[in-house]
Amino acid sequence: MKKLICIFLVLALTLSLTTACSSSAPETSKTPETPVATEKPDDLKWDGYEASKGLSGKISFMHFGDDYERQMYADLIAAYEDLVPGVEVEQVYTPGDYYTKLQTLAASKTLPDIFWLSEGRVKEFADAGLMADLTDVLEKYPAISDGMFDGALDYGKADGIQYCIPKDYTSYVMYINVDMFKEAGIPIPTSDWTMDDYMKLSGELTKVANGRTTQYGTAVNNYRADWINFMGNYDAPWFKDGKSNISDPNAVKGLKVQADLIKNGYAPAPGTTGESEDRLFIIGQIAMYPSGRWVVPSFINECDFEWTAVEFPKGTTRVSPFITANVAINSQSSSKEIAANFLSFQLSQTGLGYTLSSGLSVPLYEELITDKNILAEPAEAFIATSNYIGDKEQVEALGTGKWSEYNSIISAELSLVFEGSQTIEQAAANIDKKANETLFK
Amino acid sequence: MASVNTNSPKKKTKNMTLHKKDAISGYMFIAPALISFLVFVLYPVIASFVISGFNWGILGTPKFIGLENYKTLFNDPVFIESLKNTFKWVIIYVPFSILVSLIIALAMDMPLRGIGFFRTMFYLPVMTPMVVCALLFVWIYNTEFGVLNYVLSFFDISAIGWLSDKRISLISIALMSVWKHSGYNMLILLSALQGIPDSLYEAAALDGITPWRKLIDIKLPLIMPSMYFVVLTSVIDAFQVFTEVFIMTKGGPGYSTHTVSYYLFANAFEYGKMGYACAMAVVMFIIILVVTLIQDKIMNKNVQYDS
Repeated sequence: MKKLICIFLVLALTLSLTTACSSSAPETSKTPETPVATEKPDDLKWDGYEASKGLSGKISFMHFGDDYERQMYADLIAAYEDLVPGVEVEQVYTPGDYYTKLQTLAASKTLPDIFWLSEGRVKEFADAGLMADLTDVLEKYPAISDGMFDGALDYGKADGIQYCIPKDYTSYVMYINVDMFKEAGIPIPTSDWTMDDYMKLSGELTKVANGRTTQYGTAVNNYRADWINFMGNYDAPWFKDGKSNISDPNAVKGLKVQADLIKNGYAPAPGTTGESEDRLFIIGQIAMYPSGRWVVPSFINECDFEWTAVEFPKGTTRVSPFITANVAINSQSSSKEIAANFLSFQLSQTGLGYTLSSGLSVPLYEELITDKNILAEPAEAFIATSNYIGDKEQVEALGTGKWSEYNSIISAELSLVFEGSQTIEQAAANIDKKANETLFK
Repeated sequence: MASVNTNSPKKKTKNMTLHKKDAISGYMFIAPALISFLVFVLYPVIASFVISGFNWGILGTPKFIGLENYKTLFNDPVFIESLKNTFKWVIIYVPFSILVSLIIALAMDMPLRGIGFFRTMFYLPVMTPMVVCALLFVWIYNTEFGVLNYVLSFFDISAIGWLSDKRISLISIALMSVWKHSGYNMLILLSALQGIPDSLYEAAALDGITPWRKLIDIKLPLIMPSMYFVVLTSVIDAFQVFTEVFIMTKGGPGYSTHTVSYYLFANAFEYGKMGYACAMAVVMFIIILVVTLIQDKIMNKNVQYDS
């Protein structure tokens, strides 16, 4: 009897070790119940509704983001399931280390049916054959691409094939602490303000007391959107003919503005996570803060002062980096039809109403960008940036498939500039040397 | 007189059957640990050796390239920098961590009222996840509004870039790690201290021993087995430092806190170079093995076991 108990305990222990290793591959082609036909709501703005009739099964949908985003997509999924009762969508929310998990799922052949991918990863996943060609999906659901900004779809292409579709985007704008400007008696910058104006205002709005800075004129991040903005606004060909070209005089000129803001004490040296810069603005210690749309929900909920957004100051020109998450369908999914239908709902006006209502990002459709129900305040700066969204150097660099490593090299060298141990010229030379010798041979 | 043959075939068979049954029971009890070792430790180690000979990006098809990854590794300035930083970390972190743990253990060995409360307090950071501790210290170390710089401002000391100054970023992370882990080593050393028989102290007291000599001649020699274990495990753990760097600095500023484990992770999951990352893992395996063997050779001589 004792031996039997021992054997049972040992088996139970061994089994408990393997339960954590169970596959989370989604069940596909499951028919839970007979779907109840629903009537099309009058206010539904989704051209995929007719195609959804008769669909049944289960798909998994993986995405990242903060908790606001998780809830928004939970609401979106619930709305879709109400309209298409035969379909169940499993939400796979991954707030941190998203790509580690995504790649591990890909390697174990358990990739979700539909998943997000940033613009920097498209080439890598395309080369591995993990994403379905969405050309047919665009033909079946033309509303997805109708009215989309020119060039937006390019961020979801690799080698000319449409592998994924950008779901929304953010550009970079300058957030302004209006109360600080009013207190200093300085008018809010307008659209035609320049980098020189930015430097001057940053100095005027920086306050130092007893050797400590109590208020910074601005803050900057060591982040790709910042570099692309600063370099792009001087029309710098920072990536040219398949090679890193950050030593270009215009690129150096743009990056020097960013470095000088810190060197002059107008901006703190950027931290590694960027959260401290967001926090500095929220607690009212920064007058101007360049960032994307993703900070809007936090600012709405946490800033206790008046704030707004204006366009990034111009150099000799103006560009705005295109920061997006694309939606892709697993090439091995056995529920591609359902996944495509769900994708069409995500990108419909009804779907975007769920995901853009908190102000987290900007729609890619010219018609929707001026709709106040879709693009909440602050809207004007983002509408203005839609006229010059995208940077051709960014597209070219993304197409190499080495964007992540290239980013790391740039970030590492620039961090040494920001902490004062090398100049921009030295950093640019180091970046080009390292990148061109190891990545872009 | 007839005698009982205790070695009769029947008894021998019965003994062997019992022995076999005991052995089977034993193996079944160690089966869970053995299976998990084989699946989660041995298999990945062997797989790393194999994958290091391939050019493989986890998503694509592996391509055999022999020792190319190793050649690239030893010509990679970032890897060399990461290796130097890892050794720097071991040299800073291990002695400091053990010294702090020993001092706390000696203090916790004192027969004071409420000592249990202090033992719990010192052990609390060990129970807190490293991610939580690292995030906490990111804010404590924050240059602009971190509590550390705020306290220093009362002494007219200007703000220090604890994590943004490449000269001190590694040390800042090490300080956090010592605070987090010293409770664990303290516990091991404390239990060793409490295992020293009182008769030794009584005998030494009769000879008029000073507290310092008590420490040097009685306590330290007799806790050597535990000290050996603490040093060995601390060195092995120190070579694999990752979470602190990943959360607090992402290897920056520049490459000043890039450790081999962090660079390995970046190559495996961010740059899509799993084969290259495995080559790094193999090199680290060999380095840790050599260091452990050297350590064993040096320290084992000095370990005294209480008879």
